[in-house]
Amino acid sequence: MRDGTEIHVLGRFVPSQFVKEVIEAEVRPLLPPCCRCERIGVRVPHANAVISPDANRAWHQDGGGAEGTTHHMIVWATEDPTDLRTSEGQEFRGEPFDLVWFDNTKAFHKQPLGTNEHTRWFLAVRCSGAMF
Amino acid sequence: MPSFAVNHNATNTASATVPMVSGFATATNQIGIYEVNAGSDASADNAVKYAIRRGSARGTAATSYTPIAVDQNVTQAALSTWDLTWNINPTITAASECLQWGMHQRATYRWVAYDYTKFIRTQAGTGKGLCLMSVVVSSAFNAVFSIEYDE
Repeated sequence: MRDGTEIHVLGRFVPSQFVKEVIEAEVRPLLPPCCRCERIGVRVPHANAVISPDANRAWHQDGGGAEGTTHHMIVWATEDPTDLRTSEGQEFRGEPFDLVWFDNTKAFHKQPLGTNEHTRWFLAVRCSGAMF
Repeated sequence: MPSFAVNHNATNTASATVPMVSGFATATNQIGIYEVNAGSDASADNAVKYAIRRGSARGTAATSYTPIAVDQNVTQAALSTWDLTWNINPTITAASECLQWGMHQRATYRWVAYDYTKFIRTQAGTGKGLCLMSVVVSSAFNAVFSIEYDE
């Protein structure tokens, strides 16, 4: 499943500095060509970080899954990596710092319970597959 | 049918999946955009293409915007919801551009519906929305928008 059609671990990514702009710049070359065109959303941990909404911690697909334009996603976290579930119901969680690609039209994902938003760095790329 | 303004600044990184701002109707109202103003508060030489696409689900907002009534006599709050960032991004309908324009960063752009029947309008309902997208940009910059609409 790690190298399946719905979920694929691209590799391990450790930035040289934990700075939003540095992470964005250093991770971009590691992404598939279409995802490099997209914006990289980095969630920066901080003391006043709010707890994510319940919807984040339930199985979901971003952007409406197959109905929308978010065809695949890449997620990365320094701790408590995103939980993934294939269309066949197999669950998968990578290791911290794993850069994980998944098919957002088939697989579901959720933020694990109990993540520490004061310490957890997270990034997500939401890609339509288009090159622009 | 009160009118409201949504004033928004954002770095216009191109994306087909994450809007710069989205507005969604609720069960009892619909959105009708009658004016769009766009520009930048920084000066550099960049070109950009924007589009307003339809959306079919609001997603889960991380930050939202409270629309400002254009008429001071209007004391009610806007019924529609306007979101700027998301935990779960909204569902954007592919190839659903209601308005698209290209512009230069040093320029300003203004679109005004020339007739009440020409508003960019949604139906009423929670899954009826409009999403402002940055389609292509030569190098992302801080973009400034003002969207006027009625509901």
